Amino acid sequence: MPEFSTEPFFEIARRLEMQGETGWLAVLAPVADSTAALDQLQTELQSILQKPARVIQLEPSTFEGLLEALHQPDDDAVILSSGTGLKREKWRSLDIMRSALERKGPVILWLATGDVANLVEHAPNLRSFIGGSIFLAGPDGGIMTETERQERLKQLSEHFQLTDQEVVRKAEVGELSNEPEFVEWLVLLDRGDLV
Amino acid sequence: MPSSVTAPEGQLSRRDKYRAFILAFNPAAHPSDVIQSGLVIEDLHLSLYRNLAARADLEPGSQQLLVGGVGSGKTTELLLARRWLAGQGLVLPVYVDVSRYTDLSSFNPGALLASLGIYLDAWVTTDDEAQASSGTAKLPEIDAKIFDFAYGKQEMRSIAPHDNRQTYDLARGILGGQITVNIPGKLKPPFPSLSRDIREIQAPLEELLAIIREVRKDVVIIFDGLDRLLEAATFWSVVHQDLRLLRKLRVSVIATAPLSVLFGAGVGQTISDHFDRVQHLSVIASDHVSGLLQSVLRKRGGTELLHPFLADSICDYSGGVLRDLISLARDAAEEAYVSDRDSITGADIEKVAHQLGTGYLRGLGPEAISTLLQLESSKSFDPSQPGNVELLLTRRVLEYSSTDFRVHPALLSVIPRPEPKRA
Amino acid sequence: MTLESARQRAVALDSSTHDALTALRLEPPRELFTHIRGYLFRRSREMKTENDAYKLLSYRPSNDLAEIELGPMIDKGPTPDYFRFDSGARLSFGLILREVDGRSEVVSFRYHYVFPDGRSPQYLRFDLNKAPHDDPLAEPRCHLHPGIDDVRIPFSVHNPVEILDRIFFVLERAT
Repeated sequence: MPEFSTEPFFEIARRLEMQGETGWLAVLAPVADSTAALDQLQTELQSILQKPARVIQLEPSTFEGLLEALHQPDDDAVILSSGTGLKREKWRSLDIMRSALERKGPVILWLATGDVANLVEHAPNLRSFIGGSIFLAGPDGGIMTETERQERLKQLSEHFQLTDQEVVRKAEVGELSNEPEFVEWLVLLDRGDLV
Repeated sequence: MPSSVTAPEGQLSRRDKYRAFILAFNPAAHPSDVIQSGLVIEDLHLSLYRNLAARADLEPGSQQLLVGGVGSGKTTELLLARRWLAGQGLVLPVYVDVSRYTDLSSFNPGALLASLGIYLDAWVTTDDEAQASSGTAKLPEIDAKIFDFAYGKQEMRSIAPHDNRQTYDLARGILGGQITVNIPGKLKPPFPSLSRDIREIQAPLEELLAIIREVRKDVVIIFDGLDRLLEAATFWSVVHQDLRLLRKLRVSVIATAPLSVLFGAGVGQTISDHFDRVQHLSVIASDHVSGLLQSVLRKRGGTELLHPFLADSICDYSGGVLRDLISLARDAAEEAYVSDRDSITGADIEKVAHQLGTGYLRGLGPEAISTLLQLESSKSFDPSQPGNVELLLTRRVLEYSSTDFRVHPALLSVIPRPEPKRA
Repeated sequence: MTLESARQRAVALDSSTHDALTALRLEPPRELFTHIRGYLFRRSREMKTENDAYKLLSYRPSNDLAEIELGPMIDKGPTPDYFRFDSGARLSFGLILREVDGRSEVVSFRYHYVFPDGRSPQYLRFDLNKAPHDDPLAEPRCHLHPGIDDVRIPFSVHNPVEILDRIFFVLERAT
């Protein structure tokens, strides 16, 4: 079974930023820690789009409630969360009210993995707005790789003419400089206990 | 490509070029904005909108349906029809997407009439010519009736003597009393549903129409959004009472309707028989010779980042579904941009087509997949068979005519195929 | 006596630096990383020079500490790993945070802004050491190098993003 692309939240936010104000896309929540992931998505959207990002739970919500929530204000970023999944009738209802959901700001559907099928089956008008912009929430990235860590340690070692062991020894006896490069050196060696 | 690059002085930056392209290809943009921006090819469907508009104009009280699948360009045609009618200067064209204002998924007859009433009332109130008409003396009364019908009201109702809620009204010296009852309106979600007499709106509408017909030849109302009532029976239950009254009022109607009205077993024929015309907005086949779909891309500046050969590829993968065409172009541009490329490549298009197809594949069971593979190989497809009309409604199957059905190409590119049998 | 008074004033300044650092509490490290990345992304959009904030900035947690890094540890000339400005200047920085009660405490930072070739001074560098030096007059805990490695001018404690503000909106505009 083919799978959707995995994208980190930064890239998802960047795509929305490129799309201008009116963008729709869907993100499939990770199975584990989905609440923390949703928070991260919200933070990333706010940071990149420079506008508030709200989470609205689709269930329970009424037509009027959703209309008000989406249009007051109508230009921030909104994440519509389907929680653990919506029933067929709810998807149908959302699909019928697609025009009412249209707004100036971007809309992100936050879906449980199994709910994509429901979106496609029961909300084809909403799906049409999203097109192929359905992404699996990927690891956020930006984490320093082991290669990068080693490269940094090598730069420090070559410049200061010290080995990692010498740096640790100096720190243990209180002889290491307090300058920021040496603090970073110790953290790169996972010796934050000596900081 | 390095993590930082400087663009030569005077040259549009890579980001600016991509941004302009992506903004022109927004599948969620409202068609009115797209028309206004000059990005629409008006004769894409052979000026269908003019035919609809002209008939509505020439035959007051006529009722026409525009039936098309999701993303086929219905709203664009309706807005062009409205613009054409307004340009004639004779009739008052009214475009309403009722689903924007009320929950159509709750059965609520009268909603179409209520939205028409609100619009006409607002128009009469603000049009100088209409204001000069003699009928406007009764406008406050008409206002009140329309608004009560649309938004609900409170009524005092008498309590019968045997009612447990009766009170002794000292001032009036009678036993009995009154209670306040909330009567919900048509444009607010119904509370526990009450059956309302749709005829209540007839008189105020007639009065408004009389005022309007003094200054304009007639009124044409265009109802959008009704195609989202995917099941034909649901569509009919929501609209038929309203349409019957509109026919009586001799207001021409153009309305969208779901594909299930034309295809699928059931009430479809009954519905079609009600209307003076049922126009199918079919999918446009991707044809490299006529280049119709390619012209849609060109009109929006598609050549800036897209080689013609690759434009053909996007057109092919879209299957002719206009919104998918727009989405694919945009997504391919996004893909090229985040991959640090200077223009869209074949790999970008393959990736986004795969994404689109994967979406269509979700939720399909083995039987549906078998039907699709059968359609691909034998070209046979019976929309009246159970389950098949859903394939049309969800755009897994595309209708190029009443007899020409094909699997969406993006879906075809990812659909699992049975293992070939070993000899 | 004058030198001694100067040293005493330098000690007092370091003490107020310590107080300011103690009072400075920022969002959790991962969130701050997201904000800085977003900040760089937005600045990049305003420039002709393209910088990919996603690729340039890295984050590494280590127990209760976290480091946020951009560019090489030691500046040895232009490479693609720097944040590059339209003026031809380049920036690298390193920031160490400690997570305390769900917030961030700043442990140390270094921001190294190199002017385009031919400018004097050649660079400005904002440093926060992790602890006071024995000679705070020569080496204040929070200081600025005005293009000379052995000269350190006291610099007040800033939110890490405020330092970026000075770099983008003051230094770069004057370059």
